[in-house]
Amino acid sequence: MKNNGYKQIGALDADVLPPPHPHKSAVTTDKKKKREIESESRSTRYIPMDIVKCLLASMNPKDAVRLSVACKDWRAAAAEFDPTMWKTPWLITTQFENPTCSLRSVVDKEVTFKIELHGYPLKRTLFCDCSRGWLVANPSTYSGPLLLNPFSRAWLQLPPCLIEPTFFLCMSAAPSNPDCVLLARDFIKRFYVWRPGDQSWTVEKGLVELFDTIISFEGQFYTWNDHSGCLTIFRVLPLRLRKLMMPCPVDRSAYVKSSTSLVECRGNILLVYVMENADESLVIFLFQLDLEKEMWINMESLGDRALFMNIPSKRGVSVVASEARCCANCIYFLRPFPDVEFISYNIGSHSIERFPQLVNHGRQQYSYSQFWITPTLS
Amino acid sequence: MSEGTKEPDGGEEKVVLKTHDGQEFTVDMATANQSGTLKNLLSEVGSSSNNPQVIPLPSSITSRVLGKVVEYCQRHAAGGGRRGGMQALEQFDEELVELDKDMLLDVTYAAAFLDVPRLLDLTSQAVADAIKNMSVEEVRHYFGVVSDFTEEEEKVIRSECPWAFE
Repeated sequence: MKNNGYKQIGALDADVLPPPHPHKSAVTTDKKKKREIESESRSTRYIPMDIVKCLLASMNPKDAVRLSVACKDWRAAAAEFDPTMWKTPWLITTQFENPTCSLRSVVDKEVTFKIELHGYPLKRTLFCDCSRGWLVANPSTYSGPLLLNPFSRAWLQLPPCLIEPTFFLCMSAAPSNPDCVLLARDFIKRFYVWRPGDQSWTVEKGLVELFDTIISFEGQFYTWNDHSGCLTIFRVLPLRLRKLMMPCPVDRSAYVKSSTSLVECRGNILLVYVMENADESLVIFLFQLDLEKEMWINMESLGDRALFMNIPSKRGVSVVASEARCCANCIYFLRPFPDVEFISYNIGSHSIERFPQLVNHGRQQYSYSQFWITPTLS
Repeated sequence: MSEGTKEPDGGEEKVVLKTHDGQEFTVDMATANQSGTLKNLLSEVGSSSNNPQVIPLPSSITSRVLGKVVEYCQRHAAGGGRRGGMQALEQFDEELVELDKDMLLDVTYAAAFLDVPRLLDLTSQAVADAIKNMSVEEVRHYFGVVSDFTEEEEKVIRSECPWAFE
């Protein structure tokens, strides 16, 4: 088609692309008349759902939930795009005998939000661990352990244990998932197993060698013992285990402090060592499990991933840095000494970034607990 | 004519974007190709300097809005290699989205419509930053959205995620 020497095409007509003016407006009211007036006025506008989703993706969970309450269409968009599914781990701080916990992240440095922990059968708001978006409170004299999800408000009182208090070890999935297997132990290293629907704990008769760190991965548990260099891979009830003797890849005696954690990353199992020299400088080693060769392979980089480590409980999660909006090839963790500080350690450059806003100043260490938690509604 | 070919006289391929209010923006192919929508379209129909393709745009993309998008695309088609490198480009991005609410939402819409992903990310983040910490009522006011929930429905929703409203 020619037009003053220019070719004119109906390129962006409705039949080629989605119509610029949608058929349906997000603006609706109970009164039909009001709706008509509003959809014509300039003060109201249609925000296409694709854009609402883009906005949701750019927000912290608190703002995202508020956005999703604006109207029904937006709520539907948010449900499809679950606002608590952001991959950003948040640092949750809970205080002894204070039902308010606070959440901060390394991404939105100014954003802090609070969650009230009420309505739970919980006397002391202190937690011993955090796994798969759930906080774990150790059992008291009277009751079994309690699991609670501060985002969905779901909670679960686990049955009390008849013998000694159990210590939470590992959870293979959120307790709302029927495939969840929860492992706990007592003072004489016996395992206790709980699965959704169980009215009591089941004692696992077989014994597993002592270990420094444990994770669950694809239906199996993996434990690692630095001293003996033993990797144990097992399932429970009945206990089926496989032991691999793989010499510890690091000479830990050369360092003043060391912490070992197994972490799942990109479908692989990593062994992460956070060490400290006598001069307080940090050294971090990463190894990847090679099951065929039965050895730990040194890793130079995490690539596009980042790790968020809960060092005291010797666990961590790996995230795709771009999805979590943090820095790739970095490890984020709390360093308790010489001063409590949150840092990120870049594996490539060995540079350290500090996050002073995450530190719970002026508190005795035993009076609060802090964990990385990835919000989930499951 | 296939994409990327030069005219016999050496002139660069151009395309004309025509807004509903009648303004024409003549841009080169590198700029147009920043938009997924235009790139797809032009790979099929082609364009040339003597005989540039005219692409009419929907009325929601006014000349002022298109001006912003074209500014972004031109700058990013040139990349970080020019005018002060990546740092200058980042600063350019920052300044580009310093817009009033209506303009910001219009540019966001245009970025989505024309499929300019990084501009969409940029404007979405700017909107997200603008509504940070707003109450639900303020969010509705900002977007001009009227709630279609009953009082009871809204109460239930709020009780599902009370932490977001504390």
